[in-house]
Amino acid sequence: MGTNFFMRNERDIRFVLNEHLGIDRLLRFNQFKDFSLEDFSMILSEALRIAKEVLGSTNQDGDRQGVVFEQGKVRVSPSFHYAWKLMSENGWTALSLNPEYGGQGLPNVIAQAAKEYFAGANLAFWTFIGLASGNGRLIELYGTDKDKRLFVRKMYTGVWGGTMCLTEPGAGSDVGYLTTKAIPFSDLGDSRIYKIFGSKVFITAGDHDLTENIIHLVLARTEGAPEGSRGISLFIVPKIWVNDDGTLGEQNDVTTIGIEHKMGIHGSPTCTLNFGDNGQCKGILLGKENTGLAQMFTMMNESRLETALEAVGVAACAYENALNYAKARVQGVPFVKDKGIERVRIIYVRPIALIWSTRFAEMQFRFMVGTATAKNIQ
Amino acid sequence: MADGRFFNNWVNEVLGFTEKSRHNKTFIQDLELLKQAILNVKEIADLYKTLFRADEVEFIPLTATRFLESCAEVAIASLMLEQAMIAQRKLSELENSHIDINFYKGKIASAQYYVRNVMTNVFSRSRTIKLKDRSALDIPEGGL
Repeated sequence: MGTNFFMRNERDIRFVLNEHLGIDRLLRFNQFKDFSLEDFSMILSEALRIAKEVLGSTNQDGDRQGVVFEQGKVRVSPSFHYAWKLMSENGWTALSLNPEYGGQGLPNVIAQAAKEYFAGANLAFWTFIGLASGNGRLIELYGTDKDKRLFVRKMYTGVWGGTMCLTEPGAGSDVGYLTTKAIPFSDLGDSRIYKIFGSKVFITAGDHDLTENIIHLVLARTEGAPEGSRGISLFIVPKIWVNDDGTLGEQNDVTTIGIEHKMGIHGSPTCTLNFGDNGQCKGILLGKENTGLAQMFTMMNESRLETALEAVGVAACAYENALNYAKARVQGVPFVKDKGIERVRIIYVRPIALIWSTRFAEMQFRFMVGTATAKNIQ
Repeated sequence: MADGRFFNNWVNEVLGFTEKSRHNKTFIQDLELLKQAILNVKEIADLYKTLFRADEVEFIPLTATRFLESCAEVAIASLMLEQAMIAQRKLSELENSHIDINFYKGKIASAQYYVRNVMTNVFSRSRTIKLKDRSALDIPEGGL
């Protein structure tokens, strides 16, 4: 295990939740009637403990060891496997999601606070969990009963991973120009199954060895679809096909071509994926044809909040580290002249610049998320 | 976009907060700055409507990020002041030796610092946006 740099001040989170947002109001809602404030408190304490003791100690492993791409497969840092097992087996992968499919059913605002700890402790690791549960939620929202039965529980409980496949070599923010094709797979006698052909780039957690299967959600264009973003559909493309009884079938025709060599989050693979190199990539239409972009944006909008939350977690951890250092390090002269004192600890040199500028970064992001999650309370 | 209903609700919410809290002497200066800032943000939103109607829509994406930053700073300032007022109440209830005294003092100081030193960026941004500056659009590629 690498050096653990994770630090976090729990008092601040509790102030936001209890004294500012007033989370006791949540208990009035029927869906949260089985929880108590003590439950919320215990869950957050345990989340912080796991962030400190489990995820924090794997962060440097992910950064130094990175991910390995060999013979078309991606391997992650060995210590991530231990963390994944612990997180998935103890229900930390789907805190606010539907209990019917293995989620914990917690209020979103509590889940977000726990996620803030986790992301701050190991952002690279957190990307795997965020995508698996986020994809599962999209299938829960737009899938058929069969889709839900086959995929959602396994994604919420960390048995399978997930990705969102939007960007192509020739289409990024202008996603309406994407060229990945979907053609009905008439041999299979199921009108919802298509053959997928195309290439996707910059796919976070596109391949890895943490889970036995990865469920890709792929944007593609069916034959005769309108041009631009109005003609895009969304497909469930499992790395390994899932049989009707939920067992794993054959390897799907999805190939990992390579991984990006990045300046940061080395523990999370950013992949290039090819779909249908051998003409046999099967995908299941999610929802209706030509509604893919709107569906994907359900997830994208949540992802924007998640990304802000991740930034909060990382900034908060950086702040605590900087503060600790400033309290110990003797350097410079007093900000306000004091007789007889020549050199002081950094914290006394420019307290405003140090504490508040860093706290600002933390607070700014936190409140963006806090504002949005507070809406869920009302 | 519901004819700006959500935006207007938020503007009224912040103005309502400044009005309701106006007798709080500790934060008089901060509440006045917040009020001016939200009115500045509303002015820009109104300017965008005018640009849209006048077929000068290209100016909107040129400054939209700065407008959104201003919205974020006002929202954060408003929430931090709410927190600071909670901290103010707590301080009046606690003994000086209480473990949380400095925590609550920090809440007040950081809110005031933020409003006075960070949120005030709203005013310079607002002034810039109103200039309808075209330099980024008109510069030739060879000039970059």
